[in-house]
Amino acid sequence: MSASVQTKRDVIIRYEDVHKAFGPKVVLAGFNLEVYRGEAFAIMGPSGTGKSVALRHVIGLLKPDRGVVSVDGRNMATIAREELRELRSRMGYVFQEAALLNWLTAGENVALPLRETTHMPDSEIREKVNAKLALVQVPDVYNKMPNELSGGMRKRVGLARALVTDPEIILYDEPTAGLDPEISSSINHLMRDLAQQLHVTSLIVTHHIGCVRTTADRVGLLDGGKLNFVSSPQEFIGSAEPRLVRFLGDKLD
Amino acid sequence: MSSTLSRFFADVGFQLTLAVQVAARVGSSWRRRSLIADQLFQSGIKVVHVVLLVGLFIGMIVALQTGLELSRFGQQDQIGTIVALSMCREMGPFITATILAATVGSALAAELGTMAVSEELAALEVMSIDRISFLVLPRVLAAAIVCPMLTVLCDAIGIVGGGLIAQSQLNVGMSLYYDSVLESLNDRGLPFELPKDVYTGLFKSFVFGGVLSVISCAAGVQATSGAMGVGNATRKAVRDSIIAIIVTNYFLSWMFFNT
Repeated sequence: MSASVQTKRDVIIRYEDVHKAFGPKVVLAGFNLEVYRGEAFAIMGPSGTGKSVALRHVIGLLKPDRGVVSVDGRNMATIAREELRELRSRMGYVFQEAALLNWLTAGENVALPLRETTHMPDSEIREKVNAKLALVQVPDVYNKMPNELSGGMRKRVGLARALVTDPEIILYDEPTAGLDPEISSSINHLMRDLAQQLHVTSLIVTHHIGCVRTTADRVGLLDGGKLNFVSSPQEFIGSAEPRLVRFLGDKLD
Repeated sequence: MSSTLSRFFADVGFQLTLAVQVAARVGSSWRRRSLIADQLFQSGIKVVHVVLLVGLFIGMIVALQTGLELSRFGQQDQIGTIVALSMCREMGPFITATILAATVGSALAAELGTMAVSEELAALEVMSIDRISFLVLPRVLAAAIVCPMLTVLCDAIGIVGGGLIAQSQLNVGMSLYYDSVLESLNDRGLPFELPKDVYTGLFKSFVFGGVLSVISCAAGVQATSGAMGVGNATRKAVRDSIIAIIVTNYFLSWMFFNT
């Protein structure tokens, strides 16, 4: 997939010299990245280096102090409210802890974007929600409350909610954080299968090398506010670059 | 000092902005009717017993403290007037709003604060769901509706409590007590020919309900830094709500009775 994608060079997400600081703490300092349409790009890095901060710029939850983040050619910092709504409806965001509303059932959580932002009839919403829950392999949880679900199931429901509007771009914030290796592996395979079936662009923030191996076409290391060592997962893992070796050290064991 | 002041003005600015945003969305309340009904239950039914218990004892305390002094001058027959005016003008609305600030306000701040720190608010924004219409409007409307309703109960039970003390401690008969209550609430006017002391108290309650819920929601949605942040938001919600209720109470009392 990556070769064909890269020859077309159709950039859908672009970071240009992005700087972001929170008070005295500089998080991004000249962050550059181009994500091509249809590819899966993983941003790796130690905890607290700003991976999630970088991701949040794409969907307009944060604005850069300097530089530009654009999606499909539109600057996310200056985009009009209506255009932002339209663009967000083409994106899905999978939160680290799933971020399900705890007073709604799993099915109602997945249905929420359709109920709130479309005029789709209830029967159609129900049908679509059931289809998405089946797609992420939790077909029987519609009426379960989030606190009745395991961590892995909550992640899947969060993924179904991100998918319910049929997005072109899916942003994953630590999709396997806090899960045991077996469930992490199943989530990774699910992400890969979804990318292949639905032809979506994926931007994944993770510190799990297993996630990168299974899901990503390209990967880069966020360190010192910049993205470095952008390459294929194989090159990334096999690199002799001391900073990469040091970062990957125990992760490869 | 200057940072405390700037934080204070920033907080007040945020609360006022939120209040205006809620007011601008009142037209869409019908769409949120099931959420509002749920909040009415959470804010109202669940605290009725607290309001009744506190209201009863407040009425008894007012009757006892004032009645003992009045009896020194042989004026204990006036106890019904004093209890009724105290409850309807001030004690009922203020006590009810304070109970709501402590129970409902703290719960609102904790609930929205937990949603903020667990990224549920961010999730709503990502899905282009209007958080004010979806989360804040139902809570503010419910509190503004429920506060006057609970105040009526508080006023009534407080007057009953005062009657119990009048009869048992001050030797004032029940019929005499209730006659003086009704006589004192005889200044009728709009709306619905309600006594002025009652409708001004209910109006105050409506405002208190709105104020405490806006302040509590504002504290909740601004929560950061995990469990500690939620705790801080809850504390701030109750503290600021009670201060705002007292300040607002003064200005509303001045507006209605300074003639």
